[in-house]
Amino acid sequence: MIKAIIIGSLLLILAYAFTQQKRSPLISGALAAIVFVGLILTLFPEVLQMLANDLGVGRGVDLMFYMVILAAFLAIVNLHMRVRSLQDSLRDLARAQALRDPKVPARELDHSELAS
Amino acid sequence: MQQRAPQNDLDQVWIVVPAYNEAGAIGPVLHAVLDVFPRVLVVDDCSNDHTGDLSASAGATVLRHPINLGQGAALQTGIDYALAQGAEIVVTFDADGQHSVADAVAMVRLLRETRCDLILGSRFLGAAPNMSWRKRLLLRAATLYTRLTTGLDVSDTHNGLRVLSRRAAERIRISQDRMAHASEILTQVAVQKLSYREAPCTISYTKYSMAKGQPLSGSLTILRDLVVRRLYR
Repeated sequence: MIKAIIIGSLLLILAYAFTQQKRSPLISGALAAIVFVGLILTLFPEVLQMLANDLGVGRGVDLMFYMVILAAFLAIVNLHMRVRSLQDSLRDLARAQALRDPKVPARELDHSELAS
Repeated sequence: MQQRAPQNDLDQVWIVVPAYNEAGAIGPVLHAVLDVFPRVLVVDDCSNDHTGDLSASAGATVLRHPINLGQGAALQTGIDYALAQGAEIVVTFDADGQHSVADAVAMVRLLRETRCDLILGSRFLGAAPNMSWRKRLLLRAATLYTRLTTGLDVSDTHNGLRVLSRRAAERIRISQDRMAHASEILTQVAVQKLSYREAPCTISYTKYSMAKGQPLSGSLTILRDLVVRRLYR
């Protein structure tokens, strides 16, 4: 039963990854790879145990835990970069608006402009 | 928007004053500056008080950020505007009354005489009465950091009084929106091999400016911003 739930969830993530293919190919590809690995490990749990033994980790579940921590860290870095990029865009917009609407003292204005 | 034609040798000198909640000091500061320099631009960084209105009634041109971005961003906005207006020289000047107009005039004169790209104000070549020993120590450490990381032979850092030629103003691009811009400007001076001179200046630490100034913990924020920007460059 649990396998069916996990596989269903992974397939939903895969569908989401496909929808993001044009917008962010890197993230989409990474998600698809994670889903692929997840499917293999869910269907063949002994593979995880074998991998853990090869890497010197005691149990397969421990290896999974370490991988999740790593993935969470990468996700945080990705979000952080996106926030910084949004901040830069916001700054550029705010600057453009400020520059478009200067409050100029009357003595600075050209006489012709004052007359018009 | 078209503005009047140049009339004297300071007419193409733009004083850029970044300001955030400076209603308590900006009026007299601007009157003193406008007595000498005809072109004064205040970049109101979305103040909650009447900084913008006071600046406009003092006779300055005012730009207002719709959101608070930080002093570095305000300076860049001001420099962009001044360049668009044909500025030959841009002076960055604090709004809290710490800087002296006479120093700014002397620095503009020095820039013209030496034809350097920048003149940097130095309180350690000039004077800074009432500066606390902790601030002095911190600034010395920051200056040492700047000298080591940029190779520039400077005696002060994080001094807001600077005079930039048009060439320098066009080349320097401030991406540090908050207080780390001061280090970033010096880094760009070094990287782009802009010529510079230091000039003595007097920084007046008043009760107001000390209350408004950065807490010493702000230096940690500056350090963090510099490190993060290097990581994501």
